[in-house]
Amino acid sequence: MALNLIENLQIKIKTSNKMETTSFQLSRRIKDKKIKRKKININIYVFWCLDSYHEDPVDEWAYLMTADQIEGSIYDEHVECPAYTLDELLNLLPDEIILLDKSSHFLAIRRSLNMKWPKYCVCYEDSNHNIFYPSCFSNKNAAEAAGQLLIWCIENKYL
Amino acid sequence: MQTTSPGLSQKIKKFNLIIEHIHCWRMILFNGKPIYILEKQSEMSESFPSDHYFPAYSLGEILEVLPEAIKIPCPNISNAYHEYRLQLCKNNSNYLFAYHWEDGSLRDFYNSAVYYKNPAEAAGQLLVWCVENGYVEL
Repeated sequence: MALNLIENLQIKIKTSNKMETTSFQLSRRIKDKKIKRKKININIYVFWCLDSYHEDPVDEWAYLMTADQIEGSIYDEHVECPAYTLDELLNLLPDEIILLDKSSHFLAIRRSLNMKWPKYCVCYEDSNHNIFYPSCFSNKNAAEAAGQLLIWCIENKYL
Repeated sequence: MQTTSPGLSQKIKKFNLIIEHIHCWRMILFNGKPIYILEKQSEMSESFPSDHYFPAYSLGEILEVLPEAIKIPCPNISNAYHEYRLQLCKNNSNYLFAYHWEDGSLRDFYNSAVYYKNPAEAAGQLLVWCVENGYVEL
């Protein structure tokens, strides 16, 4: 009995249903920038969906579905926008940006060791690891930080 | 989303690390050859033999368990350490995760210098290196 409980507990720790993607709001902002998904080496495409009767989409009504789930679904939902995962966003982000002073900055992911700070920072930094702070976006979800950086790159014409 | 390949996933599974994951590779034999199908763990049948499936990790899931920094003893100085920080290198959509230390002009990378198309695979390779070198506790 005790062993069964321990096994169940381990399974609960190991499995998770939350797929880390950009939030619904941020995904819609990326969609508005007319960014196209790169269809290379991706196993699973995730989308934010809404039931068809929702005309004015809000966060609470949106839910995540994979391309396979949408194809096999019997319900009446519609795809609102792509939900980007971290690896997709890394693919879309430039490897390097060159600032006005001609200095090169490279894409970096940092994870904070300080529990009080947001967990991930996605940014551009120079070869001495000095972060170019306008490009630094922090969030507990790395995909959300990378998505914000993508918007920043578009708005500042680095993409 | 990309996940670690079946080969690397099997290697990581052998370490018995506790890593949250959503997807699994399921192995089926077709004409005697193994074929791997990516499935959501929550949708898998419990009756399926456990040795036929193993976790498939995404980049985000691997980053959760990779140490942000590792400490390496300084040569020639007792009780002194260099802190190597986790570093992403992206080059023409190829990825390398490594531990990096910089002091003036001196740079050093840990892990191999192999770049991968799939960032989850690149991070997974570093995780294997970390476990094999004692930087991640089993």
